[in-house]
Amino acid sequence: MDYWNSTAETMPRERLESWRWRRLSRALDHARRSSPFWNARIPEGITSLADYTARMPLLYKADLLAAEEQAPPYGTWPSLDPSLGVRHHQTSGTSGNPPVRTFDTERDWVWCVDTFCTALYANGVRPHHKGMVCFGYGLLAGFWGMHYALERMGCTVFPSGGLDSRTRVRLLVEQRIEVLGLTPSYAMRLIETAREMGVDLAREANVRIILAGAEPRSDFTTRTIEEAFGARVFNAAGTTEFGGVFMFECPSRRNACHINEQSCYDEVLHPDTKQPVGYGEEGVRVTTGLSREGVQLFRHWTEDIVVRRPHTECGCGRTWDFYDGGILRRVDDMRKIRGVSVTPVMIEDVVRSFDEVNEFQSSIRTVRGLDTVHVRVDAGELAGPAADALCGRIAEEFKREIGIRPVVELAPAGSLPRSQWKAARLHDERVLTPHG
Amino acid sequence: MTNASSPLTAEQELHLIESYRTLTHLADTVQVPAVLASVRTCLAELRLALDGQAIDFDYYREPTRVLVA
Repeated sequence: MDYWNSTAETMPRERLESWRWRRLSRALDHARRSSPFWNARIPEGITSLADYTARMPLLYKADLLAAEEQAPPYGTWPSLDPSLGVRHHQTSGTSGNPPVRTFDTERDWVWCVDTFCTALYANGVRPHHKGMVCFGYGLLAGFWGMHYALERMGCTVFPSGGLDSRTRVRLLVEQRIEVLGLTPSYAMRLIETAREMGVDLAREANVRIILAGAEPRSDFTTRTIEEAFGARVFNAAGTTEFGGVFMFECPSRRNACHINEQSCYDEVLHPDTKQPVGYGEEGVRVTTGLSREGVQLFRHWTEDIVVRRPHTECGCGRTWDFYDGGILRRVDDMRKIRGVSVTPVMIEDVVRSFDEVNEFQSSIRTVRGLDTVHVRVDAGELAGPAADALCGRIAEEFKREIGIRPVVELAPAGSLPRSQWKAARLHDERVLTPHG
Repeated sequence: MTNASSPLTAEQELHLIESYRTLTHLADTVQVPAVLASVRTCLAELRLALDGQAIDFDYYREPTRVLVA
């Protein structure tokens, strides 16, 4: 097994804990000395990791937004003068909240890129590979780090920011590109585009490694992407607030997403009691950054639902624990429909199991006082009895797998939104009542 | 200062730390923009290398020095 940095990735657990405490301790000192926000929050005299988790308050998104509002645009939480920033990034603000804005110093950016290198190297990327990054190259941090990581590793990178899907497919074939970075949603879009162009990606292109991040995906979607490209799909995730990649999937064990424990100190807490849960139990990921100097993060309540497992269950030699299945969902993703818990990934798993479906959208509506799931599917040019039969089969499978019979209808070909970034395919349109 | 698990030799670690100190000093004193840009980049890279090998050093810059490095 090769590692990007064997010292950090295979450090014996006891030494790793000691090292991380030293790093956390100096990070706390820096924050207290330099940030009014953190100076007010960090308790005096923290003596150990255990003491830290017992006394340091949790940080919620609302706290960050309130700090931003006090001193726009970055607020009172930076630990260095923002004029030292060499990059600005911000969240999309799709949840209806204002975006969280951050900056990276030159040193922070080098670290961020290195977290991508750690992931990509683990996934099999090596110097001289060709890589293409499919995203908008805008304010979102997104795959910016992957672009620079490919350069740093000695790969040739194809920045495809302004290209349409057809041009990207052509580029994949012409340039024999081996590494691809995109969201699972956009991978499905490229597959659909290639089919329209009559291109068999598995046969005519040369993609071997796909880093598909930024959104939860079903196992079925992963398999579909792998079969269409003839490539291995790896999961990875980072956040704008954290500033780098905090987990990446290991080639040794499917769905084992190692936590980059060099760069973060993660806890998993019960969503209601906020107490630690054990290995194998679902909880909310709470993260502390150990590396960044400009914008620091301590005990951030991420709302990501994860299941943590010990590193020994992977067998790759890394001493970093892993999240089984990566980010399973967000706290607010779960919907109760007639007593049944439903998540977007559950719906995706059912609908994507039908080869005829190119894209879909789903919604929960109140019909005559009853919560009802509506699914619209784009099945290309399929029409008439064949289309009716497909809708019927999807409804049957939905009922069998999830326990609710949905209303399934056909959408005109190409009419449903395709996403390059985080796709929203479940919309809650229920009418709230005073008792609801 | 050193870490037994690092595959670097003691001499290599020492050279890295000396280089970091030298670059830190240069970042404080160099006036030529083109040279300063190179020094800053090298400093950021070297800091990452040292940290990745679990070597203890002055990881965070002093607030009084932030405006030049």
